[in-house]
Amino acid sequence: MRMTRYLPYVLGAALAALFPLFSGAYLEQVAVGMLIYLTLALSWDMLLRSGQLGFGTAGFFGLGSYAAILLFLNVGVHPFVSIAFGGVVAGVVALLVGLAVLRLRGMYFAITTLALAGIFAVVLRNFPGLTGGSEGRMLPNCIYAGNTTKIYWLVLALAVFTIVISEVFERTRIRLALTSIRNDERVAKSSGVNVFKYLVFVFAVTSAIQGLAGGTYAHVFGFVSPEGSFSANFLLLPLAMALLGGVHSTWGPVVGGLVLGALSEYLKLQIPYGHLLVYGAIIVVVTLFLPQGLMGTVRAWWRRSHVTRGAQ
Amino acid sequence: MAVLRTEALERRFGGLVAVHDLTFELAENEILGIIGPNGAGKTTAINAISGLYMPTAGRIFLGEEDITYSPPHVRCHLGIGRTFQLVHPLVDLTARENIMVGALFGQHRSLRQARKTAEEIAAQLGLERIDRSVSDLTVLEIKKLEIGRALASDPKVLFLDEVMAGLNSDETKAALDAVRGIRDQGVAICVVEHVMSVIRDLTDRVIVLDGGTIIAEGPYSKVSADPRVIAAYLGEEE
Repeated sequence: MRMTRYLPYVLGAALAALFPLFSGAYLEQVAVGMLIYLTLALSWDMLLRSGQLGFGTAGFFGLGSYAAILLFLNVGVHPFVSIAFGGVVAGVVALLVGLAVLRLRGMYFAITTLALAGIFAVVLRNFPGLTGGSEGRMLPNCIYAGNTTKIYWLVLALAVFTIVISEVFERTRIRLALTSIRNDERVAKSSGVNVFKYLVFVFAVTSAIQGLAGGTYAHVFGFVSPEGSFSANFLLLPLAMALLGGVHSTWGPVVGGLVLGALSEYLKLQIPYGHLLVYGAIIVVVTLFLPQGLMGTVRAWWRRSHVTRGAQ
Repeated sequence: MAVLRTEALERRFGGLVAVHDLTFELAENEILGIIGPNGAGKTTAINAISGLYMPTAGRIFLGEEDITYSPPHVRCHLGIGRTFQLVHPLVDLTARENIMVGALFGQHRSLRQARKTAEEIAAQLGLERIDRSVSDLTVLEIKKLEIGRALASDPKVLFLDEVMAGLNSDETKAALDAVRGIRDQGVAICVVEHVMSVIRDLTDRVIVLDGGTIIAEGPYSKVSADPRVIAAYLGEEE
């Protein structure tokens, strides 16, 4: 019983780990990008489960990138240490920012977090001695000297780590706290939920994950720059992935990440830059016709067919 | 010894004084009714006591503890439970999980204990098949769910804001029995209600609010005959 329950996860993990054995370097590289975006999609969704629409994804991603690269270049630590540092910096900044802005709700919170990427980029641009200004900084070498298989495993580890954190959120009291806040904040408060504490906690954890993703990305591609590291792509693509797959769960954003990641790579080859149009179209179509996303629609269909079968 | 006590409680919204000079006590094992015409300040008073609105003046004591400025989740931990006038089920959770929220965060129980507490409370309230989604519940079941969620936080004082509204007479009878059962466990109860037969049958004592303050107090038989109360409800005789 227990064995069969975990079998799909074990098989999925094994398949993902062994992917480089039969994929070739090109698909490996595609997968690296997909897994980074998937990590961002999942972390964005984890905050959304509390009802807060955060647009700070690109901001904390870029902040983590810079923190990791600057520590690596200036202090010369192991790349892993610098990536972890990127996560810590993003998490701590989110904690401080969160203490202030998590008193805002809805549109006000969304707009404030959207501004973060711009603010971080301006600040970093204005310390050219340390950050390289508008040029940014380059690494002498990418991590693992650009060995795509090792890079793939590193990024896979990041994605699996995020999936595990997301499942911890789903299987502990955290899910009930976040869902109650999302459904009705007054009820949550009156039932003893420390709403502010939970929101600050989730904002800090998800931003730290975005910082880790940023640090990893910067080591994989070997550079940071204000335009590149804080690009709106690191917000819009993850958002489209989570919406496509279905929000408020672990597997929705994961499925959306895989589907949209593969699709966007294909479209990039067919119509360069046209993939951006397609992201927009997907957000519109999914919002209109599949508000539950792919996983939500499948789940609803599964439940319906089971209920009818049970009734017969 | 009073379980809950307010002293000259006031809540203003800008220039509007919704509640003022509200002083009352709730004794152990008492069922207190709060009645009054629409806009009298009943729900505002509950919101001020449960912490959703901070009072603008006055004091609130739960037992010996001054909770006037405690945040709502702390008041819940200390023993204030409430339901809402318009039902607010947590729609993305099952019935069981709705009740668990109270036990998990009001009492800091573990998931396993909370699951069991939810079962016991559901059984006590006669709420069946609790692993259903909230959208499959009837109005009566949702009302029971709201009471169950408040009860799961193990309150000393329970505020019921119009829980009988919208129930038919059989359902009301069932709900009355449930409320008496809760009182018998040692919870002091404060009901806000428009259905006068409920107030008559259920309460030990009634306070009547009008214009944000108390205009009469006593057993139902006494306040219902009070000319000021009749005037507040029906208007002055010309």
